[in-house]
Amino acid sequence: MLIVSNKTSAARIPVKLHRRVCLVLTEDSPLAEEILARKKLASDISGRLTNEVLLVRTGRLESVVAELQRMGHTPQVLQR
Amino acid sequence: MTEPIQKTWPEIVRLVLGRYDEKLLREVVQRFLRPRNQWPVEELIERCVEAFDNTVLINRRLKELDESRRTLLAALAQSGQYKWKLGQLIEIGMCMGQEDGLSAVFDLLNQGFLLPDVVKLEQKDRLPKPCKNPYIKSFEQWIGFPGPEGLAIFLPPPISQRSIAFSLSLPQKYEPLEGAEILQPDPLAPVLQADGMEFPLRMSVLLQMVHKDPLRKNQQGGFFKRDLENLRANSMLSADPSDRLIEVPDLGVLLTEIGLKLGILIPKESELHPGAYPSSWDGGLHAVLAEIWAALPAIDSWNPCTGLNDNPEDRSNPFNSACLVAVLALGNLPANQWVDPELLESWVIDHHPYWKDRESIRPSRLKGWLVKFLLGVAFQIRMIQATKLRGGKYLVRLSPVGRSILGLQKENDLQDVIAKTLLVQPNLEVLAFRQGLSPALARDLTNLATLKSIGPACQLLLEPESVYFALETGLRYEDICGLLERHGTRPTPQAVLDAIKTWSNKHERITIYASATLLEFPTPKDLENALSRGLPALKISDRFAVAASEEGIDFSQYRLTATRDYGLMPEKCVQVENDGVTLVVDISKSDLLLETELPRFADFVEDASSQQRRVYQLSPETLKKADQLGFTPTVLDDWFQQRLGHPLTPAIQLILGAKSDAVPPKVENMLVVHLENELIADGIMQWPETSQWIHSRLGPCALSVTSESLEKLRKALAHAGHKLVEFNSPQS
Repeated sequence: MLIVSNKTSAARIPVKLHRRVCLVLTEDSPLAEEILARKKLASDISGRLTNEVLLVRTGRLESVVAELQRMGHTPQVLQR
Repeated sequence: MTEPIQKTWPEIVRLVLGRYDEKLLREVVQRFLRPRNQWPVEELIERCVEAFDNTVLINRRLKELDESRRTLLAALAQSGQYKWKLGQLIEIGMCMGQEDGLSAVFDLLNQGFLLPDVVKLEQKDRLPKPCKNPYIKSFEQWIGFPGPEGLAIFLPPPISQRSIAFSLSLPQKYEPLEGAEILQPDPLAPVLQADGMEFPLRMSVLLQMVHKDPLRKNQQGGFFKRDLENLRANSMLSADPSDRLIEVPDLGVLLTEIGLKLGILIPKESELHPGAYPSSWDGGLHAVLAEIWAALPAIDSWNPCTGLNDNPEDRSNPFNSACLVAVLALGNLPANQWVDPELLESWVIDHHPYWKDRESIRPSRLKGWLVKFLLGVAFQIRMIQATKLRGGKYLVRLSPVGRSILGLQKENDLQDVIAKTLLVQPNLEVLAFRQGLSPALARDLTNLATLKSIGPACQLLLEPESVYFALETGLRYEDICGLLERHGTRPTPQAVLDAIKTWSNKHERITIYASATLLEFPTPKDLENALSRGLPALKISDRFAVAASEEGIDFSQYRLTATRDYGLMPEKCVQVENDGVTLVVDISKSDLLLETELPRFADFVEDASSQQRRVYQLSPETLKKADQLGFTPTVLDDWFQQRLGHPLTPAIQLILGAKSDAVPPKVENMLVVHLENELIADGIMQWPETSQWIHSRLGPCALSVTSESLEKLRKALAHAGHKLVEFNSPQS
């Protein structure tokens, strides 16, 4: 009997882990633009990973949350 | 608190016995287990842990104990507390008639019924590792080194359960002094009993208060002055309950201490932060009251006499053991027998070692404390019933709930509460009628709405912040509506449902991951493959997925190519190839910021990339786009210095220099003079007669000259004795 092994599906998937990442996930791209347009927030954002995902500078989480709340948003914060 | 101990005690016993020296362990186990064979230490410990679950064996050993020892165990069992300070055990033992409380504790330690708490029960969530070097050689040696926190004793729950039924050596009657009047209850006076919800409700107030501002503690362990004032001034936390019989000093502080013991508040560094409600809140009012009762003997910084004890030099709290003995004494009386609390207090003072030398004790500590405890605290947690006499004095007795909590009877008078107890009003106010509240409902409601007043009908207010908080605890819009519908006496007004819906929708627009794990896959296909295998993460781009925590990620399915901490500084992780425009990223060192920066001025070259390196290429188009996005040549140069360790490559500078205002490169016809060596070229450049005809030096041995100057140069060279030979290259 011929046994065909499916190596591709059983192989371990290569992945790189980025730990302790602080990021903001917005519902859509314009919302991310709105956040980036806010001067106080822009200085706390270190980069835009995708259209909807913004990276927050280390240690700036609380000021980002406070500024978003000042803007009238109600972000849900997921702690570890 | 009770439930985790019920689960973790075998591990605690194992860890404690593992700290016994082998000789001591064998002695204790010999008395407790009486093994016939010589087992290795590890097996001996395992057998000992198993023996705690052996009801027949435990009963037999308890029967063999001296009655005074059994009495002490029964008192501890009825308290519901598993951790005791050594001093408290001695005090309780002496109240029970033992001359020397310490010998009873030694006996129980030597026979394995009590264990030294050397693993810190408060930290049971992170119990220490097994000990490699057992250090308890004898209990006398252990007592000799109390350490800064003092000595504590652990009563294993199985021993507690088997000891609870033993009788206590306490009086059956409390007589007044000769000549004094014997107080009799008024048969027409009502029996006063609290509903037991006051403390659970105030715990919710405390939690809401700490959510706004954590309570701060100073270096001595006391509260910050301002926080203490807030605790004392909070009208819902510290004000008298509506059915109060007596004023309780510093009720807010007492509730804070209870909250800490139950895990509702969590100490973090020098602050108290919100924790979680214990699981007993789902077990009904009886379970909650039992847990609060069990927490009382462990409270150090509050006593019924003075309230807060913030004197760092005097942390002794004899009132804990004294109050416990008083309640146990009530439990020792017939169920319906009323007692004058002052008589009971006198009896405790006569028997408790703290009051032995009364002359050295402040008069304020001699009288009145037990009345405050019984009528103020024990009454509110429904342990005590009271009846008022004509003169305004009260008599007390243990309530059916109290008898049930002490294990003296199984049944109690707690009834099932009415489920429909809420009135939700269109102005977002919620009235919760007290008789229908259970701890679980009070918890759910105060998670959802801000508590405004506590009374026969508790007033709550639905606010955006309170609803967001509920959403953050994991509730969804449907759950909130379900809760209001299930317990509402009327249908929830549409305006309220709309407001909750609006707040819920708004809440879901922005999600912040405070400390997420981001999984970066080399290709979109790898990410799809991982998701199809059940990766518990949210896909946020074609190669990235985010997970709030690593729990649930089956790492056996993945090969980690690199791990990177987001908090670390960016590293040099890019190299440039010889062409000057191809950038190669070292995946093992690269960080997320690089991933956000590179695509802004370079194109990803998929064909040249692999799992270990990602290749990007710059071009005039990408650099033009970068310039528009703010990546000016200066910013780009800084980036190169940071990521590559050197400035922009000449090729990139060439592209960046090609701007409209830059000097354009010129094309002109020129003749090249090749020389035999560098010295001759240097001579031509130096001698004024020849140098004036040279246009530029192209290299060490090559000079350029215009066709007009060629003859002049030829003559000047001939003048110096050199002949210029003309070489015509074949035309292509």
